[in-house]
Amino acid sequence: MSTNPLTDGSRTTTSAASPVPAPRAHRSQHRADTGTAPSGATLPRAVLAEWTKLRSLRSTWWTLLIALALAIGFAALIAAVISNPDATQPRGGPGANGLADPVAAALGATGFSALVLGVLGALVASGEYATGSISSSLMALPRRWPLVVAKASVLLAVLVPFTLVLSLGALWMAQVVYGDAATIDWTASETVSAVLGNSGYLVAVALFGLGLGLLLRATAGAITFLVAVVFVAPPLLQLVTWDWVKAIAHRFPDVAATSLQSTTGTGVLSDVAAWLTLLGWAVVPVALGALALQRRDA
Amino acid sequence: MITVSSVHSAHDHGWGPYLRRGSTGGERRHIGTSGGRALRTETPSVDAVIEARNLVKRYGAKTAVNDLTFTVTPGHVTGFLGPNGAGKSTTMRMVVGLDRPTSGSVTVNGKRYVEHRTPLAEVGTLLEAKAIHKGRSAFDHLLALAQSQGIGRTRVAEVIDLVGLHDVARKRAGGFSLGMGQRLGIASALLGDPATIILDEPVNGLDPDGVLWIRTLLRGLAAEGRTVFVSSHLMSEMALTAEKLVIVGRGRLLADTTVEDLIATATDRPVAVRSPQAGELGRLLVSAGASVTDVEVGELSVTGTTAERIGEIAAERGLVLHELHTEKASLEQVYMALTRDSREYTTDDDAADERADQQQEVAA
Repeated sequence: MSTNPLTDGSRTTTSAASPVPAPRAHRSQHRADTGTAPSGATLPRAVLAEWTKLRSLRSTWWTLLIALALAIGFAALIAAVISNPDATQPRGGPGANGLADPVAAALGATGFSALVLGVLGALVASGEYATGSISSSLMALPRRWPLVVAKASVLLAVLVPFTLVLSLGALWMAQVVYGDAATIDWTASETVSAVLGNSGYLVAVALFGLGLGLLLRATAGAITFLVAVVFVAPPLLQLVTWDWVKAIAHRFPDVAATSLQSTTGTGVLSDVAAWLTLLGWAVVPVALGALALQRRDA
Repeated sequence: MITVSSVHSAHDHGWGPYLRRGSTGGERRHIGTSGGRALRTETPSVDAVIEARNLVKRYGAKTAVNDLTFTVTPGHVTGFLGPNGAGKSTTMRMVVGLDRPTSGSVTVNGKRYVEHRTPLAEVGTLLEAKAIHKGRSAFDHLLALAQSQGIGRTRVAEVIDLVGLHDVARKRAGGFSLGMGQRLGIASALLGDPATIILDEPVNGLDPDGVLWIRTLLRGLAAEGRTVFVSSHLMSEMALTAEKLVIVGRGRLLADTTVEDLIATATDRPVAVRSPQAGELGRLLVSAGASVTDVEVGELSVTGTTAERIGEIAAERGLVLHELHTEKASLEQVYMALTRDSREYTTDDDAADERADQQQEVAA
């Protein structure tokens, strides 16, 4: 405006006189020495980084241990209750089918583990907001969506095998307690399908937790919402008799889980419908979370 | 190519009024509302590394950053100064893509931050200390960041040694002091060996040793030819490290200049007077229209007049002078004058505080 900087030589000497010795020399030399030239923030690298983040927290391992202990503990408890001929059968609970479906009864006992894994999923996202490490993470992955894909991938990679072990562990423990009262047919396709379905349910709840963590950015809020959807809402919705409410109630993850756990074909949903329901609960909130992350200021 | 639309030379008299204080009474000026009259030392954008153009960030009705245009160049430390709430952190967050500008743009090395393939190798940033999960060790935190960019494990160990955290690197970060958190933040900024380094208030929470360490580190990084952009609300700190300054207040650019030029523009430098008849001389000067502050017994600090005039007045009345000289304006004084109207929290005795600040500065 008033002064053309290029014509004002006296001022530019200030910066010209400042030391600018071969700017990048030190840097390139350093990289040649250590051979660590970074070559891009790729998706596989983001996944590796998320794995490091997940495994480096003690809480991760505690959470998994608690989920496993709860599953096996409750499986033993429920097996003991339903195989005791004097006991009254719990109505509407995980052991409702009793000895008629010993697999479903045992897998139904993993419901509390679902909550624990859902909290783990929520913490993977909300923990970053609680500690402020989200800004480091997003500066490393400024395109943002790879962060969500990486988090979801790591949860899948860890929880698919883990929940299979957990489901089988619960069944095994139940069989031990059943003794002669009931026998689980380990090789029956219904049993395999029930175990896979149960794992699918547990993983879906964890991913649902991740989605909630991303959307709500707060651990307390995410956990509250998670408990409401996974535990509180299903039995309450059962009380309502309107058809449209029933239709919605049948699409809750809990209903999908009991349908898949059943080996006697008594589930509310078909296997396909149940899997699609779980897929929806797993994918939609995470996708919305990614969208929110993309659009919001961090 | 010229980057800025409104370029003012450092000696532009239009800037003078911003430095004058006291004489205009309680009148509040809106700095920058009349055509963005900010002091600029012009920098051609050829070697510009951080370039902000007409950056605006609004949160609802509040404008945090208002039409900010500046460039940060390599080879020296550039101080980013402004009172609390001036928009420094918001600006830095926009540079690294954490916050989206309402309008305007900012690039690093000619690209928006998000477009860089290996962002941590381009720009290293410390925004808030202890931006780390309390349950994770410093090593694992840095390792995850390194892995996300394809940076090797050896570099992680290197930066840990560089910031002096090797003894605690494997411990959980929850027990870190603020100073250790700052060191960890600096380690993560240096992790990718970036050409551009952005640090938000890096000396906060550091002990004197740490402060000295940061100063040396920043100057060293700049001497290697890197671009170093450091925010602070303390001019006294920046005066020791920075060569160039970008000064903001209430989200607006107040000055984009060098430390040297900023001092040179000080127009209202106080005159120090030592006299055994200081009381009488003081009264005479006040009646002559100057403003006088007692520094100590027999010592005055006079503004609103010149050393020559004071000497003449003393001579007319036959008063003895032991000392008479014009103070070199301190950066702190210039800065306080510049940001006077931009501070978020102002009190009635703000002016008094400022005088006190000045005297401390003079005494020091």
